[in-house]
Amino acid sequence: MNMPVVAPKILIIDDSQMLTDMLKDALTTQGNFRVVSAPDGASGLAIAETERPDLILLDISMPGLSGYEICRIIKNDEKLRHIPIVIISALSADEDKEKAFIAGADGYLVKPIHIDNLLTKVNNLL
Amino acid sequence: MEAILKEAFKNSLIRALEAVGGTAPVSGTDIFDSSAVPDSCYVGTIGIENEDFTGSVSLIFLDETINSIHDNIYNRLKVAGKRRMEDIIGEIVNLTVGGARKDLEQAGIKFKMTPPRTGRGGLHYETEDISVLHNAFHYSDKLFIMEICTRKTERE
Repeated sequence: MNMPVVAPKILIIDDSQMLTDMLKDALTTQGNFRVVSAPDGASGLAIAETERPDLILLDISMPGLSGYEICRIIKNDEKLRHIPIVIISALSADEDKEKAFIAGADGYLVKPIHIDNLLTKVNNLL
Repeated sequence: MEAILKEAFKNSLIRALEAVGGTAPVSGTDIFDSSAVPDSCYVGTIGIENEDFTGSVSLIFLDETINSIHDNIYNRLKVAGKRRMEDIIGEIVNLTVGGARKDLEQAGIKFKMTPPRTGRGGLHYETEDISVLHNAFHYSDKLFIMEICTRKTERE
């Protein structure tokens, strides 16, 4: 008997409820992913520890820890560093992207995010 | 330079609202009836700064306009519930300024931007040292205003 396939779990860390709602909707209805979310870096890190997502979508500009800092913390944590991180940000300058990849990000998507690009990026990294 | 800034922010705003709100706003002119914009509008503002100028970009929404944007966003999603308007406005102004930053960088204008601030307020008016540009928009026939304030940096 085949075991049921468990859908990959995605953690969204973004302080914008609107963007989180839009991503959640697209990932669950068009991508068949399970989604958990956090509105800031501290709770995002806690959820990453407990939920062990298969991929993290991470905003840069948030109250408290920035996305760059969260990315560095996760990539320096032996238990979490294997989780791919895709930065999702309205910051679109080359230096913003460079900082994200230096912090250890595996991908970068500029907001507003096109759902096809998001699903392609997520599927490529899983 | 102000004309270049205005064009970049205007184009970025149209792209952002079309992407999140499902409908592109229609750009009007810089001449509009300012009495139609009360001092109790929803406002989202981001500060901008480089070595030549400091300033801000604000989006000023009448209640009926932001309600229309909210409904267009959430009617397309399966998630329920009414969300905070400040969150939606903050994200739209963030997308607008963030998107324009890339275009302006390619035009040789780099600047730093602050996180968005949201609240209630109205229009600003030109003063001796601050230039204020306005651009009226309509989203589903409802008015909102983009306002760009800049002050040239004094050099020794």
